[in-house]
Amino acid sequence: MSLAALLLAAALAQVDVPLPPPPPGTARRPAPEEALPVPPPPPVAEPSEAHPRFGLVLEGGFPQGASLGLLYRPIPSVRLWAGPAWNYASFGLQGGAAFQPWRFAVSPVLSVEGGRYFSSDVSVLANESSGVPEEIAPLLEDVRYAYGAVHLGLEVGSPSGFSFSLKVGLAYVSIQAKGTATATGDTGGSGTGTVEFDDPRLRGTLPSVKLGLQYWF
Amino acid sequence: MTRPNVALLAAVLATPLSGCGPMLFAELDVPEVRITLPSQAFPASPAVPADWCFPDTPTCVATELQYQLAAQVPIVNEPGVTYDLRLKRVAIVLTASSAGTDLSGIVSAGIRILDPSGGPGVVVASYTQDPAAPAPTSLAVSGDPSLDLEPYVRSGNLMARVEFVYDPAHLTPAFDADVSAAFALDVKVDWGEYL
Repeated sequence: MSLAALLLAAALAQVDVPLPPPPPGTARRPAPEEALPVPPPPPVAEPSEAHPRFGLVLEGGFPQGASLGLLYRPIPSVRLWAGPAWNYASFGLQGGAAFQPWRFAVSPVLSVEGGRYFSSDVSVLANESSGVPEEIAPLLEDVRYAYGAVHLGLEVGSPSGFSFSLKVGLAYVSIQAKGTATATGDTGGSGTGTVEFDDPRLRGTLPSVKLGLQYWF
Repeated sequence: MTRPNVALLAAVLATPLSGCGPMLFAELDVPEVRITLPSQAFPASPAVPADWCFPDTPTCVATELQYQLAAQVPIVNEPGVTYDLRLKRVAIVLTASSAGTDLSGIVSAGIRILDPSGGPGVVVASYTQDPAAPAPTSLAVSGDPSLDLEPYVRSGNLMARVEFVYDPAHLTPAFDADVSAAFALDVKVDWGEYL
C-alpha cells in the first residue's frame, strides 16, 4: 500500500461519516457512552468468623438467678439477648442489650437487662429453721419477682467463639406478695391485738454480680 | 474506641449518678395494715372528769389507744429509715360482752391523733350519728388520706384518742368494743446510711 493510500485512510477515519440506518427489525446498538452504568462493586463482606451474628449465653448472678439466652449481634459493638430464666423458686423470662466498644481477647462490656419471674409459691420457706415467721406464709403463696440491672464488666476469650464474662453493677428489684398475713401479739399499751398485712410490695436497689459464658456461632 | 462510642459510654455511666434520691435504697409498701385492738373499754356517760376530752366538756368522753408501730415493723426505728403512715379508716364494733347495748347515745365521734410534743393533735376521722340508724352497734369512719402521721409517731408508738360526744339526755352505760384501724404504710431505707 502506498503512502498516499495510508494518509487517505487516516483522514477518512477522522471524518464523521453518518452511518446507514440499520436494517428494519434490528436493534440499535448503543454507543459506548450510552452503555449501562457499571454496577458498583459488591460490598466487601467481613469474614463471618470475625463477627458472627448469633450465639448463646449462659449466665448466673445475683439477684437475677440463672438464665439462658439467644444472642444476636446486629452490629459488631452491640448485642441483644433474650431467653428463659430460673431462680430456684420459679421460671421467668429475661432479656437485655450490651455495648462492647472493643472486641479483643479481653474486652469491656456495658449492659442493661431486665427480667420477670412467674408467680411462685415459696411458703415452704416460712418455718422455724429458716427464721421466716410462719404467720407470713400466706403472703408467700403468690410471689412475683421482677428486676432490671446495669452492669459493667470484662469478657475474656474470643469475640467470635467462646468467652467468659464477669460483670458487676446495680440492680433494681421488685417483689410483690399477694395475700394477707395475720399475726396476733402485743400491740402495746392497748393490749393484745391482731395485725393483718395485705399485699406488701418490696422494691429497691442493690449491688449485682454476674458470671457468664458466651458462644458465638 | 470512636468518639461516638466514648460519648455513649459516658452518657450511660452518668445516668444512674445523676438520678434523684439515694442509689441504694429499699422501699416496703404495704397498702393496708389492719390493727385490731379487741375489747377496749369505753366509759359511761356521764363520765368522771378524768375521762372528759377537755376540762370544760363533760359530754365529750375520751379513750386513749396506743399503736406500737415498731412492734409490727421494727425497722421504722432504725437509722436511715423514713416512712409514711396514713389512716385509711377506723371501725368500732361492740363486743359480745356488750350485748343489749348500742351506740345510740353517741351524737358524734372523732379519732384524734395525739401530738407527742404536747400539742392538741389532729382529728383524722369523724362520725356523726345517722338519723336513719339511730341505734347502731358499730361505727365506721374514714381517715384523712392526705395526712401523714409520721410526725405523730414517737419511739415507734402512735397514740390516738377516741372522742365520743354523748347526748346528755341519754344515759349510756360503759361498753367494750373492738377497735380496728386500717393504715397505709410506706417505709424507705437508704442503704447508704449503712455503708
